[in-house]
Amino acid sequence: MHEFSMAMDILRIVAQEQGRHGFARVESVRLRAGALSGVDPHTLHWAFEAARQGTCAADATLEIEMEAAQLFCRACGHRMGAQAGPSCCGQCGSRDLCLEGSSGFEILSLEVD
Amino acid sequence: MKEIRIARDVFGRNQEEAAGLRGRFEASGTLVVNLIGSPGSGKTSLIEATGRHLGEAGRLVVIEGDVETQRDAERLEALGIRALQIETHGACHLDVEMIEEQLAGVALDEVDLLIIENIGNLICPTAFDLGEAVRVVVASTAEGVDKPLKYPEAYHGADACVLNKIDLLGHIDFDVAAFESYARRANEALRIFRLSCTSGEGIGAYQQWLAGQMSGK
Repeated sequence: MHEFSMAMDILRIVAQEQGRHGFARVESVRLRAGALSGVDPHTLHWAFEAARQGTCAADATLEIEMEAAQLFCRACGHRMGAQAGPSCCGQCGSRDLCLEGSSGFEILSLEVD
Repeated sequence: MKEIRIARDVFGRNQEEAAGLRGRFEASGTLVVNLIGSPGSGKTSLIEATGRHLGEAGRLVVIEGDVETQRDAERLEALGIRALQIETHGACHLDVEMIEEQLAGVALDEVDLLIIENIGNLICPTAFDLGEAVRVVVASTAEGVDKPLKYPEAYHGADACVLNKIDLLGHIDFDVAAFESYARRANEALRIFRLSCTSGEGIGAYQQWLAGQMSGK
């Protein structure tokens, strides 16, 4: 449940941008979360709805782009989805796999009025 | 309606605060370890073993994070280890502010090693830098081999992994090689220490590594 902290951080950035650009309200917030960022979109939506009350983002929606994690086989170079948690490479059977994904969590842009 | 492009890191503020704390630790020459792991993986037992190994000259301070109770701090104080307990009453991770509050009464110049035992949780603590120099993820054989697949963030961000409770191998179905290959999927450079806080097996190699970190090797 660290998504509540994330929601507060998002609102803090929104408030700073409001100070800079002077808009009245925020329509939507676009975010991009890396596969290794630990962001759960469902919980973040819920936390943001609770945290946004009384702010210029009180009606704002979150648009979260989630990066999908991939596995790369160091033995044969095959790439596969990480979702199923395979115990070895689907192509060559090697266990020498590497998880690819970013731990970044970025606020990309705001739609404002 | 108009679009404002921002491209800012949501975790930016925490990272700035953590950088400030890291600067303080570097200036005082204090090695800070952030211990992350499931409840029951043996984080407190590992700290007890470290305290015993260092002895009184070790100048060790521990910050204990728990959702409820002072039990862990009491366990450590019984061994003569100075322990500061944070009770979060529900919060799932520690943050820089909580650490700074605990440090108010600590003369960091007199501390060589500060171990922060995070809340037992493999998800939330991984997103919060506490200004530590090294992050250690503690796993145990009793948890099963697939934890690194289910919680890759915890392994991705760690410098070392302690695989505790190896004294149970032989009694349970745990494939050490599979566990290690799963852990290295998320982090190729991960140092892995197989040990048992109960029997003491393997503790020496971990302490040696920790000592190396303390002397900046």
